[in-house]
Amino acid sequence: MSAVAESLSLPKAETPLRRLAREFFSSWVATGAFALLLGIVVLALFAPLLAPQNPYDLAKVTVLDARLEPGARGSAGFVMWLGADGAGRDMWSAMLYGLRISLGVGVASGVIALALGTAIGLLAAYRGGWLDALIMRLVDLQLSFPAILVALILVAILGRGADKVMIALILVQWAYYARTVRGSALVERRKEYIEAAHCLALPPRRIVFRHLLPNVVAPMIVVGTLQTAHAISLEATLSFLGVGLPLTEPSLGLLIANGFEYMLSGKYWISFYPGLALLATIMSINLVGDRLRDVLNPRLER
Amino acid sequence: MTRFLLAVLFAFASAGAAAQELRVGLGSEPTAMDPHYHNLSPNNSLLSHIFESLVGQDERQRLTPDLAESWKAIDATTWEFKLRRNVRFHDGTPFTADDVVFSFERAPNVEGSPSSFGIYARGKTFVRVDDHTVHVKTAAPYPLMPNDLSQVFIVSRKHGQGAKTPDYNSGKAAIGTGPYRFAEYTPGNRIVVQRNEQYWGEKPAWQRVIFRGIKSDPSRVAALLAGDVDLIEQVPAVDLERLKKDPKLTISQTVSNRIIYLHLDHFRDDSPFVRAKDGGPIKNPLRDLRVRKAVSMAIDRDAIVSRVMEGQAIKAGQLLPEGFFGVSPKLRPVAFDPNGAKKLLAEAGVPNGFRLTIHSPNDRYPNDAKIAEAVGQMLSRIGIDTQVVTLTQSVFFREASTGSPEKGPKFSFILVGWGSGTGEASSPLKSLIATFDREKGMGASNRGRYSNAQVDRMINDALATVDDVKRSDLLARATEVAIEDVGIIPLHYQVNTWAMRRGFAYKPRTDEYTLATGVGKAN
Amino acid sequence: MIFVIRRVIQSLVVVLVMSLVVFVGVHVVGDPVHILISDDMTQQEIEDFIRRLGLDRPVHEQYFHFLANAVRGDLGNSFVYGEPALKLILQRMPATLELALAAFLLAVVFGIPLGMYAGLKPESPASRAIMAGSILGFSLPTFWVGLMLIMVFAVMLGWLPSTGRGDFMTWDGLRHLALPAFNLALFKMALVTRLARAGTREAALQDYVKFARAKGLSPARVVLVHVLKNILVPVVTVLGLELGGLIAFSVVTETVFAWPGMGKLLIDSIQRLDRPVVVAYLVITVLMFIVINLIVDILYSMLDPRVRLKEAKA
Repeated sequence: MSAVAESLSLPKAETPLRRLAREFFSSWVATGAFALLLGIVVLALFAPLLAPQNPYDLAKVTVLDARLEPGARGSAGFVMWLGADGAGRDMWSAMLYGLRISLGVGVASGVIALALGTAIGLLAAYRGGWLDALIMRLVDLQLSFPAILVALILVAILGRGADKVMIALILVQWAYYARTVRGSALVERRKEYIEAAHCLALPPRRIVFRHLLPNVVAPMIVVGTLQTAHAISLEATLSFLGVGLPLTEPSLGLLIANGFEYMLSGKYWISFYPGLALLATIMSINLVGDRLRDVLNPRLER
Repeated sequence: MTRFLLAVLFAFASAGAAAQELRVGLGSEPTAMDPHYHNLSPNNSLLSHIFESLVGQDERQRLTPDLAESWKAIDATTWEFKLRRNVRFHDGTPFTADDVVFSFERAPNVEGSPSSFGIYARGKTFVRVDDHTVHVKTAAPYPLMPNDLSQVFIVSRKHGQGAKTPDYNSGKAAIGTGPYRFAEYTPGNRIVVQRNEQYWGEKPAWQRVIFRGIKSDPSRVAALLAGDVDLIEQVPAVDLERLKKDPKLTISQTVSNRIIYLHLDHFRDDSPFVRAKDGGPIKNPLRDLRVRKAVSMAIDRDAIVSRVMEGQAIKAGQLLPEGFFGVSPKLRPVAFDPNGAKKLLAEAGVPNGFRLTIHSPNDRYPNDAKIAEAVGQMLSRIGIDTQVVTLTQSVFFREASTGSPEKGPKFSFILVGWGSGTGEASSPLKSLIATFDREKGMGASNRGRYSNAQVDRMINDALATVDDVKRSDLLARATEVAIEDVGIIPLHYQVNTWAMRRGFAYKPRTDEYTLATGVGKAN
Repeated sequence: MIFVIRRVIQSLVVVLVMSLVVFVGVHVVGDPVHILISDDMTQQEIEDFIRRLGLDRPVHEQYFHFLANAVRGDLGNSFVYGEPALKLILQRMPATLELALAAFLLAVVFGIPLGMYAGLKPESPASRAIMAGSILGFSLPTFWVGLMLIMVFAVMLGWLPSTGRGDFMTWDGLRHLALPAFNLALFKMALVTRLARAGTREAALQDYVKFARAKGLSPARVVLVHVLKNILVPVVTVLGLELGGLIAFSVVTETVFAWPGMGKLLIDSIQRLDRPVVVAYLVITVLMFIVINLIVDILYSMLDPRVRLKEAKA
């Protein structure tokens, strides 16, 4: 259906990608969000060049700077425009480095979980029978496991660290994708075009990838963006509960969690700025994902 | 009939008197209402309202007469306790020597008890002489008898016989002699006690006391600020500054019996978390006294106290703060001297330092992980590249005690704390400094396996000396030798803090207990 | 019927596997002995305690022992409280159910109308505000929102109590419930809003809705009957998952608001490695979850006749 729709409704000169871009940027909100996200990614990538201090080097950080107010001069000589956190890290440097970790952990675990979950969900929906039952029970099993328990067990066996948190996040998320994909695919499977494809005796692989997959993309993008954003926030929650990343290499989430205890004491900058950065990151991901969804959804085309 | 009328009148009176009610926000909740189930501060603190022991501890942990009016050693191995007369349990039955004997029989034998009171009851024979006299016999001279007996609550024999922990939790057996009586226990929510109108001592100030467990620090502070509770314990350091400024609140503080210190690997030549700068193996430098001194000198205790603890600590030079029994008058906190530390490292043959990992719990002591991080920063500055690893306490303590392949301590350098329940110096010396010995029960928490024959001898002598002056002197000297040898590195003593609404006052305690009997009305 | 029996058997297998995983998992992490004991205990006494809990035996032996008792309905005694784990959990279940159901209701009652409105009038400023709000709802970590709620409504305004729980269905109880329920619901509300909006937008463009409109049915009827029915499928699926999630993951909210529910018990038990409670909690959660899923699947087939029960779940 999508292939047919494309050939009918599009001028020949425009490639699908270009069409996508044109539609995407026709919304100024999405354009703004995309620019913001791009900016955030650049900041994260070039953190070591932009930060006045390496906040992960214990020899460079001193507790004597702890909780300095924004604009105060730290003992290393530079001005801490956003203040310092409870361990004496320059807030701005810590946020740049933290952004790197948060984005890395969130996106990587989101993408891997998406790929894994989609593959498993499609398999379950397409094959059906005992395999479907097995997979769905596995999904039940997975979803009944509180994320913190998975994380706690993994962290205890493997030790704390970004990679361990990622594994935990993948394990927590894949089942959501699998279940969503399967649900949508089951509905699609009953539709005429798939039945038609069956009648044409197309190979199963072709049916799954050319017909089933494109049609479950829309719900996947909704769930996917939400989950990636969720993963970043989940990582923060794990840190809040004390099972996340190592203390000396804080992510944005851990910075917020650490600052959380200062909330009532009036030292707002310790969790306010990282909170703002996290909010901006997650909002921009969500807005971009939202727009992509509208653009990609074949049924919303006219 | 008159009693009934009185009760009705009383009910009316109390309904109108909300000011008679005290609401307390606890940082950690007790695990049971059975006073012999779990030897844990939150339990002992709360159950002090319902139950009493023979010997009490005042707010500085000095021993005071409680259910026993007086005690003395009548020969080398026998102590005599004279019991208070005219004391009644909450159900009206009189308190006698039988209840004492029964309580010490029950205390070590509670089914499923995670940490029993056996340590205080075992090795002692309780003999009822008459209704109000008890003799306690031991095999060898035992000077800490009154201290031990201050730790075990007396329960009613009538209700305690055959009673299990759930019977106490339901309130059925929770019958004591204390100033308050059991009213309600909802685990995870609240515990309510009512004034014991027949109390033998000073009449309790509050008609009704409600304790609520609010574990999360900011939530506990918020509950106080919102006026949902009148008093909170374990005030987080970060909020202290703000709370002090708030005109609607009052703060009450005192130094605690808990020291935060560092244990170093004294027993392995190849220590798993000590490495050369290039990551290769290195002969454990922590066994060299000069290196240990350097580590201690590299730590800026003032910075930890002011920046990490926000003033809620006092820098430490030994095992207990001054004023406690058996502390040394000579020892002072080691001064911060990074250059001196570097010089010592050079003398010890490691001028460029080495690699070290500090392990710390992150949910056991106030700011524990942050202190470890600060120590890591300070050591990194004298060339000891320090990695900071923080673990949740359930994992940390198992690994730190029995995590190595030989079921011994796993880590090379750890941050831990120690509170002296008995309120005197033999407690940390015996557990942290004495050579580890399973059979004798010495050095049980000596996770650095420090061992010094001279110190051991002095500790053993002290534990067999009934004379207070001589014992105090022995304990002080043992402490001096161990600290000069850098057996452990003391960092600071915690300060216990309570915050309350204005109009309330709390007599702060060194043992971290939060007692309604210590809460009064200020004016 | 056969379908239900089959489902129950499958579920039992899930519970079995789960309990094994958790049992071994928690065993690997550690044991609570070292945080339960008091500092003064000797090595000898510590070992006695380990023996009394049966923690000195190999893990498979401990597991079979657990299974043998579990068959008789005994999930073991809590290491910390010394009382049956099941009893501890059931004691606190009403509090959590109250919180989860309140949050669930809030999410549905606010989420669906908001989402449908945003879907029907996608260009209006109100819809944009709703969507921005929903994104905000996702983006803020629960614990942070919880504390902000306490700050604003309890500390600054003094309208609502900060923490704890009142008696069920009393004015005081509802006042205590308001903040934590809203806190827990926020994320789900955002999710429902988005799902409802997505569903509405799709449905509004579909032929049968266009047809219904063309037929001259009143807009209210079109929306309430045709559009609502269409969006219920994804909403029910996701909410089914999320109700279980609400119950299982109320941990954070319960911690922040000192709500005496199962979630708080779980996080405490995990931190103290109180294995019997953790295992019992998960067994109960899984059972609850499976029941909810079963209901979701039945609802699903009722709402969308294209998905036949036996095909979907066989």
